[in-house]
Amino acid sequence: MENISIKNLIVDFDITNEENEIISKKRVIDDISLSINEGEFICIIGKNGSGKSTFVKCLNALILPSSGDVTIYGMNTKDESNLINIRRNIGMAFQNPDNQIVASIVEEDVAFGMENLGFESEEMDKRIDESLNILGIKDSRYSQTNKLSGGQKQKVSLAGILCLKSKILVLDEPTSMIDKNGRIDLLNKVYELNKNQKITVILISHYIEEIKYADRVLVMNNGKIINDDTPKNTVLKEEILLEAGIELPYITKLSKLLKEKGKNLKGNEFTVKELCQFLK
Amino acid sequence: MIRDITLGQYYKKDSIVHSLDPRVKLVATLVFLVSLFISTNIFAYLFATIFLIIAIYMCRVPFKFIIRGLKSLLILLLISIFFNLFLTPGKIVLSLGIFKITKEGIIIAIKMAIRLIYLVIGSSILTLTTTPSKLTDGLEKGLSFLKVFKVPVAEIALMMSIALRFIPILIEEVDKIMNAQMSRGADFEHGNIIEKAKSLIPLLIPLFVSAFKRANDLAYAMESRCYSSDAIRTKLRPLKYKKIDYMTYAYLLLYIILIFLTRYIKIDGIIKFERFL
Amino acid sequence: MSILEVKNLKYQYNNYEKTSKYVLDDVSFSIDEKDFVAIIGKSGSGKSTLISHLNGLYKATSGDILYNGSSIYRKDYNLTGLRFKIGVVFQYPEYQLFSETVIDDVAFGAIKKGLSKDEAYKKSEEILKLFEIEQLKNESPFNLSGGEKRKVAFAGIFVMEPEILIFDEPDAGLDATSKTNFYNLIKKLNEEKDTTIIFITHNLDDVMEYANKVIVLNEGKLLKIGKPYEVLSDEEIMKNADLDMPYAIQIFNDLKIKGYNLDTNKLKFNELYNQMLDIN
Repeated sequence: MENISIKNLIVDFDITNEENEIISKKRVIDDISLSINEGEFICIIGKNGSGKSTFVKCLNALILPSSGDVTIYGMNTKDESNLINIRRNIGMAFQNPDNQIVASIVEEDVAFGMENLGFESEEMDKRIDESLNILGIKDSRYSQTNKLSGGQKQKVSLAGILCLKSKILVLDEPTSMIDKNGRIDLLNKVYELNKNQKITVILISHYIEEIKYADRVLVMNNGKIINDDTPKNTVLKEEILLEAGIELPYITKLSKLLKEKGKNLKGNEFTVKELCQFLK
Repeated sequence: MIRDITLGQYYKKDSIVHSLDPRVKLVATLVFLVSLFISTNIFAYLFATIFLIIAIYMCRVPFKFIIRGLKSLLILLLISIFFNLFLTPGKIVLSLGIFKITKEGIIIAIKMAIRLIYLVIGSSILTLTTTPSKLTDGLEKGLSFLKVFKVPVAEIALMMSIALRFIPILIEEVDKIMNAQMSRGADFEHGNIIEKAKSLIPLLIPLFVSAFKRANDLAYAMESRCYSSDAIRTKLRPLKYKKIDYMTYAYLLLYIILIFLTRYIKIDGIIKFERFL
Repeated sequence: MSILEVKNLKYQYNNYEKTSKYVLDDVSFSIDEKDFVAIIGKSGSGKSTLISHLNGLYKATSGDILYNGSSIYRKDYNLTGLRFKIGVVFQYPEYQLFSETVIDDVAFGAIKKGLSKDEAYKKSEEILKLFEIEQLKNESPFNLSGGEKRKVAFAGIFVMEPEILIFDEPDAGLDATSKTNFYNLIKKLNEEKDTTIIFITHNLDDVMEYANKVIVLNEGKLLKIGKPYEVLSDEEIMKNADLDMPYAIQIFNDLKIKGYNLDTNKLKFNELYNQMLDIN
């Protein structure tokens, strides 16, 4: 079932001069059409300034299209009466947890979204418990948000999204402050949610290794989607990745070079095991 | 020095003071501040001191931590002492060239110093024992009668709690930017006032740039979490008075009455003591 | 002779609690001229605190730091002078920009160092050329893209021509090409101008690729210092530091099990590739 539909989406930012007059327009999203089905795991990659973050902000009406339409479960983002319903259906977590944590105590912050929607105290308590549990930070429930490590903060902001039980989860580089092991841990949790609860996941990442979780990989460059394919196929398209300024994963790069010299490899291997198989 | 600002910092501990209703603590702080300014004689100051000592003892925050906030106020304190000491007309006790210290000056200087110090300690205890969100919850509820006059109390309260939450973050940021600029040879410590003011530019501009970016990000994050100013919000922990809160109100009433009464105490010994000064 | 010597360095934040832990706990090591040193460890292991000590921004609780044999904690030591010789670039250096134009910003450090205005601007232009952003010299730094801002910030340190260059996660937020260019640039400085390089990174593949010495920190303690292969293949150390081995060593180990012994001195990407090509 289709739950996100985007038609000819264009977003222009106004460039103003010092007197606040619009002197020119900058095209940030350039004619994107796309549809995403329920339960899909989408990964978006692209360098800084390629339009990834602007694109996902169009999904929950944080940014409105200059032209074109974004429809979530049949609700157009341009219609203001849909606003709260759209945002209820899309949980969105951003890169820097310091800039999205509102409260100074973990449980208070997790509750913020539910307070906005008028939940009862008991229900909030239950859901805080659940979402902290999923992320494995139950012990920090009464901790001060300022005293947590970067990784823990990122989990807190994610918990604040999870407890709303949105059907779509949008994560804008949610693991940028976490070490590799913490990152894998967190992504596995998201992957489980995606597989077990059929939650649609849209993940923006700048670690190309993370695309292996996805069903579909979108590569963005200059406001356009220049690739929409499976992870295995995506890494084979070196020119597209080069154009988008993305480095191939170490293993894939090696396997590609070895394949060119006639070794028995596909050129899209992700793991050491897959790579070393040609020497069996 | 910048790390010494304790304003808006919460110190986690399980104490009676921590568990009091924020409205009680707000009222208590207000009562204490008022008591300082209506204090006229040594008895009043004695009561205020006892009140403060009890509060410090009961909140179980390390004393060193509480008085850390005073360091940043030292200059203000010295200026106030200086002006009161030398510029109050009255009976001259000591004269150093054009500077004349008067008896009245000494008394006022001491009073001002005590007031300032107690004021900072008192309000530090409030913020150290109350999370910003509790504090603003208390303000919101305590001032909710203003809603009748179309004052957006809830929005102001949320704004305040966010501001308080960002104080430590911005302080840390100042530290980081200072380190970065000092690594490029910037000097924030030496030079005259004009040079020092100039040296702040490399500090303030990046700070503002980053603060605006943070504000922008935060607005997006809040909207994503369904924040809207027209919606009626619920509270995870709605404020409710407990027995201890009512008891504290009673103690506060007792305290302010005592302070008032001190105005009418006239004991010869004390008056003599004042004359001696 | 060692250019930088750290002796029994201890540091703790004064947080008025008796239980206050050491952020740096008895750290000792020495760095030779022309070294290319990587500092690795989980978040919160003390990496950033350590580099803030190296140019005297933080004062150690106890211990000593010797630069060219003399202690930087001597009373009359010129710390500002030291900071021109040991250049530190912190994480997110773009937040240090403040001038009206790019060239003014880059020249700031050079002027503070004591160069005449003409010299400083001449040098700044050269550095901008090095980073291939000389066309931006009269732009406002605030109108630049993220990557460009970062390059300007780097240039602002490079212009002081320090003998030691220290970076905290220099590649965060850079796209693939800029990252490669950046590492090639500091490699060139290291090889041609004998500049000593110290960098903090999460990417252990980059450590294998560029560093000749690795320092592993965990909870403020130095676990090991040595050559990349020596350190990164040490299972116990890597486990204690909670780090995954770089791919090159994982491949090396996998191939060893299969009966192929590669040369441990040749594990940089191209060397590894060539070694793997030679296996029949």
